[in-house]
Amino acid sequence: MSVFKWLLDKKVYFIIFMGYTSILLLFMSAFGMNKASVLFILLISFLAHLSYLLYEYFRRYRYYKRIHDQFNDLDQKHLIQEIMESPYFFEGEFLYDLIQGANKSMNDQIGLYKERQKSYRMYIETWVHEIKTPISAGQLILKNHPYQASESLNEELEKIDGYVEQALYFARGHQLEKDYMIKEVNLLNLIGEVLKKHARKLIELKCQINLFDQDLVVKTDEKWMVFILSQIINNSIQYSYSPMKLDFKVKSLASKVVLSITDYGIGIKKKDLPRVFDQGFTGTNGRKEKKSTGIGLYLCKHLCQQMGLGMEVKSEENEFTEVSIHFPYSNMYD
Amino acid sequence: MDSILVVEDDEKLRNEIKVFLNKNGFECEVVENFQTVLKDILNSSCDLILLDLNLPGVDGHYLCKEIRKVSQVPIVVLTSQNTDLDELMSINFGADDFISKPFNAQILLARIASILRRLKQGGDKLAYEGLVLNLGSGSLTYEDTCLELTKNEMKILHVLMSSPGQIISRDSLIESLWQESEFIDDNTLTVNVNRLRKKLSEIGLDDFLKTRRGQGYMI
Repeated sequence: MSVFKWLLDKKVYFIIFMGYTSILLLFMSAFGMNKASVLFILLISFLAHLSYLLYEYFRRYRYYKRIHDQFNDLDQKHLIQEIMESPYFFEGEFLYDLIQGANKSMNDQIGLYKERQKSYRMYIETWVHEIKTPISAGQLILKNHPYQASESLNEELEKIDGYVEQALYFARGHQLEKDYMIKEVNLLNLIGEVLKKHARKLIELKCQINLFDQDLVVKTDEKWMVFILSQIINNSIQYSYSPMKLDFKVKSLASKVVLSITDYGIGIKKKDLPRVFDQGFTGTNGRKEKKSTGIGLYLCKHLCQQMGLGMEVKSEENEFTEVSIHFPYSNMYD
Repeated sequence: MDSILVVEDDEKLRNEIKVFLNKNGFECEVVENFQTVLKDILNSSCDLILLDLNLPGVDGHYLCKEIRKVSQVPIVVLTSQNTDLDELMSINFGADDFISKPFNAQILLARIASILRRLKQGGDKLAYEGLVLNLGSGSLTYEDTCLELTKNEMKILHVLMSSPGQIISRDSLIESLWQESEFIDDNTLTVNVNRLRKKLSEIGLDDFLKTRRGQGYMI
């Protein structure tokens, strides 16, 4: 707050001051006082008023400057209420109390939503676990009593399982507290686990797997990464033809390890490329070929961001699609 | 015949597991009353326990711990709670393997078989018509001749010799190898099978590994 603006804000005060001094002037000249003493009185009175105003200005200036600086330094701005001191002038105290009250009410609201979100998430977790038993039972029933539709029903059950898993990670990825555990994981083992999960589909598509052979360790949450890689490979399966091919490559750079997964399927149109990570974006492929929910890649990117990893997609239509995940070397978790 | 005790509270799944295991040559007991589950488990004389974690009134981890106090019977945990923590706790409380739902029935079978085999003969040998496959050293013995096999050849032969007389399709052969972290493709399988067949005829087994056109391989 500048002095000028402060004084401008006090314009009514000045108008009244000028009004009553002009009346005073008229009055005093009517009584025949000499000009010099009139001016002197005026000057004294003006200085008195001005010094009072400046005093008030600096009192506020000190206080507001301080909370303004604190506000700018804060990472989470709403916390200003926690650190600001009560001012020592009346209308400030009044506002201070209001802010405290408003904040308390907001905290109550946030608490309420946190509670609701937590209970919803717990419900989702339980639900996901509950539904896995009937899915397992269904798969076994088909296995035990094979008939002509078994194979295709089993595929549908596998799809259901995939969507259920997605729901679980959506709930896990969107909560406020962190739910993951970063530790050192062998990248080859991780990829192996994912390939085994998708073995049947990949073999059906006569997939050729080209794996890198370096034993590399990266820092990530194992379960989350398995889910992310699963989504990526699932996409490759959906948008490739038989015989398909999957290349896994790693690059060890100074600051990070980059894992890239390339399929040689239908690729992604140039105009769709910037939006593949958007929630709900299905793109030309998704609409034309098979139904896509627009959740998979969005969720992958989101989970990666939560863990501090980078994710990127390159593609050439009808040529290839390459998804890469960047694992930075950092001592954040050491 | 090996017997397996199934501790699972979902009735349908329990019955289907029973049917499935019966079909694949296992005897099967089930626990139906969960009030006395611990007593029932300890009284049973099974060779392996399939254990769910989320049971009515009792926690699977607790059961695991209690069983281990008195018995070394293998325990395979079969559960939908698939967090790292659950897995770690199960293993710490003495479970031998951890499989999360929904599971691939074939993999369940393979894991059970491998635990039982390890337990029984402590050995790792598979024999059929005089041919002995040594899984530990990766070699073949037939009438005093010994032959080295590559990793893939050994695994292919292992799968085929595990169910003699049955046709194993190419895809399921590939899948078995994938489960062992050998991600081979169709062409590699052909190459490996041909090489294996050549090695077998070197030691005088000419038509040991048969091809059923369009169906798969068989021993």
